[in-house]
Amino acid sequence: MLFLHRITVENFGPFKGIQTIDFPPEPGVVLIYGENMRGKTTLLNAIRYAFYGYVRSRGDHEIDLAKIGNWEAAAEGVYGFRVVLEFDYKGTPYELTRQCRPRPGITTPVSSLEYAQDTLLRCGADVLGPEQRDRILAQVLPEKISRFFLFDGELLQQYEELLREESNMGRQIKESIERILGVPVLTNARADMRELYRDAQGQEGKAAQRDQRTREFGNHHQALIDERTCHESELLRLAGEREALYSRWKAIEDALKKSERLKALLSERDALQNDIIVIDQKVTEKRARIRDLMVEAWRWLLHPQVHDLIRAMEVRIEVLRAKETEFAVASEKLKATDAAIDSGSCDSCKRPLDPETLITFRTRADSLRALLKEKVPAEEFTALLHRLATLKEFLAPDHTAVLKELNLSLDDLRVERATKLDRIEEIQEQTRNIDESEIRKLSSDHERIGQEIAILDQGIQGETRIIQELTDSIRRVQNQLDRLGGADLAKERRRRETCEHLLNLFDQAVGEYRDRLRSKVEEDATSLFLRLTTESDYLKLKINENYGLTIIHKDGVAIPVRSAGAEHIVALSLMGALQRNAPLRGPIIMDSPFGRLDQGHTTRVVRSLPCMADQVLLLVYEAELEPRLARNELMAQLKGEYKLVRKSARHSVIQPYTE
Amino acid sequence: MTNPMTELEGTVERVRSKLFPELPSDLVRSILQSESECVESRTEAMRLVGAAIQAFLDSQET
Amino acid sequence: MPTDKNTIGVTQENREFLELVIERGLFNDQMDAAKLGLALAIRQGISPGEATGIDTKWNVGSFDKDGHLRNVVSAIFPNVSTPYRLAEYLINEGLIILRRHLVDNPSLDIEKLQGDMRNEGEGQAQ
Repeated sequence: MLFLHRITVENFGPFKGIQTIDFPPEPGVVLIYGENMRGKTTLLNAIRYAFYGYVRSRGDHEIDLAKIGNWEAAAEGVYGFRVVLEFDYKGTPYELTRQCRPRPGITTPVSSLEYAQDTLLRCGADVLGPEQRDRILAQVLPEKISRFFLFDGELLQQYEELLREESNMGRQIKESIERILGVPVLTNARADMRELYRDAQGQEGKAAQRDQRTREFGNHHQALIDERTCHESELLRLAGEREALYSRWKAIEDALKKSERLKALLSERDALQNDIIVIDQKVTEKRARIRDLMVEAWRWLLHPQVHDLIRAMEVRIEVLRAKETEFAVASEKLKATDAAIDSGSCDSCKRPLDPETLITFRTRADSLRALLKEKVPAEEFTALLHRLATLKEFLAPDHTAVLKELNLSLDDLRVERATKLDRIEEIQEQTRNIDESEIRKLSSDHERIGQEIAILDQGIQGETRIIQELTDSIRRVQNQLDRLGGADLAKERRRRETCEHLLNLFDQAVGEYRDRLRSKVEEDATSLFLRLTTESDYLKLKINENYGLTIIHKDGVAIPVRSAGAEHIVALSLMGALQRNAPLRGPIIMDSPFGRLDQGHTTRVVRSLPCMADQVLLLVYEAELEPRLARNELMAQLKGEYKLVRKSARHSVIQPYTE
Repeated sequence: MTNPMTELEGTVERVRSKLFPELPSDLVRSILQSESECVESRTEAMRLVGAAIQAFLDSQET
Repeated sequence: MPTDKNTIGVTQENREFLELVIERGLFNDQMDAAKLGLALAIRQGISPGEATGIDTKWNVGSFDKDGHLRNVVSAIFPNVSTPYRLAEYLINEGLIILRRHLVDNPSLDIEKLQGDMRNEGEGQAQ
């Protein structure tokens, strides 16, 4: 159990000079009020720095230590900073000092390389050696579980990750939770027992080899053990490789998810580029078709003139044909008239022609001759027919409508192309700084690593099977040895059996403890959650393999999407539940814990703080948590109030709170 | 609130008494204690556990 | 009596224009453009004349393989005994009309051309 007594900061962040907060010795809540930029997060970081030697920014990145020292002090030539933390751990008092000072010879340090760090841990009056110091610090508040003690209200999404069963961050947090709950004690015990059991088996085999009665079996036993050791090494190697590959695969998957939108944009861009290629092909084809049609275009253009000519020719030919008949009749008539005139008698009645009639006949013959002179020569008529046929041949189908369609279609294609080009430009603007090849590489790496993992899985299965077969064989040989062996062998056998039983005990206990823990965490988190939430329709919290908690509505359905406020409450419930169930207990220090919460939830959280941990330190601003509300809700559990007061933009002082 | 370490020990003790009664509970407790103190220091943990088992085996022989 | 030509020539300006229309992909061959020019000139009702400032470009045998051009020019202008000479003149005049059309219609609008010719033809007739 960790309990803080005092923190002293010197030139750390905005805290110029030496400033101290004394924590009351009794369990309870301490409130530290400070407006923005007065140093609330810096105080959280001071504790983090004391334990781990680094400082984190809002975005969870490590801050260069050269930037931590107080600026006003630096302007006065005083560089570096120090944090001293006095605390009890398991009833023993400790004083932890960590400081960052300029290296000897450096008067104006600029980068972290020009600083040196010192860490000192006193236990009572004694200064502990480095190894002991590091061992104790590792036990007091292990770094991997610090997120459950040093709580930043801005980092809630980390707890959301727990709901995603296979997320990388989720696995890390799960490991942290199991660490805080003491699961490593059991898993380590199991691992150690496995090692000791193997060792005992080996010793048993060697003892068997030393005894003549059992030498052969001993040799066989040893050979099997050696073979199994090889396969176990191989299995370990494969498992390690798989673990590393899996981490990479998950990290790539997380990165791919983030880049999904970008990938979608790039896919859209690729599709659009293909579309443009297709459009260009269509445009080329249509233009070629247009050019082919234009070969005869001059002929359609002359259609009106040619049609007029053809009509005129046809009329003339009709006229000529009619005249032809007339000429034929006239020719016959002339022949008869000439015959009558020559014979002097009528060609039809054969009577002699009187002089009057003869004159008439002669006049008629003259008229007929005159008419026949108008006859168009046959060649001319033929030529006319020929010219008509030629003109008719000239008429080619008018494809104006087809051309029009093709041109309209081209216009549409041009518009479509321009629209797609615009969209491509938009996408290129949005993806300008993106390394496309990096994203493609991520995809191909993801697939490749997935395949490698599958292959490793096969290898692991194979090795596991072989190891099992060898283990069975070893057992059979051991049984033989048990029957044949002497005193020495019996001793080794007892060692081996003890180790085997211990191994099986811890193996069984790990599973049971995990199940029990999850069940208890779920129960305790639910209990706390129902105290904290204002929503009466929420029934409970349900836990998953990763200790992720889902809110269950009273109708039995899980709430799929949570607001930031709900996430906050669930995270606090988990923290409280872990504190109740962890072998390792300590203070909860919360920075901006109520940022996303309304008054109702804030009140409930404040009221429940004493249940969450023995020592709670809240870093808040007054609008976030009204001092009067805090006092009314906490009552005797409120053990101290402080305020961070501005002296200048770069200088805050810690003072007891007064209205 | 129950002591979480006790919770862990309690779980192990339940399994021990049910499935492995031949294992002494103080040996198991001693192993858990060593593991708890040496979570970050595996070599030390193994040494302590091995020593505890040896001590138990030696006590059986006498 | 004048003899007819056995070559067709174009002015320097029209020569450049013919290269341009091919570059723009409007015709497969410069001859196609030239024939269109001839048709435009006839449609517009341009009176017979003689081309000047021209350089020979084509042989009539290759320009008018099927003889349609000669036949139709002869038919439309029965009083002209030198159809290729007249055709050469009409081609060069017609290419000027086509050039003007392409300024406002870069992708060549046959329907509009026909409409314009119809209007101008009617205008001329009036």
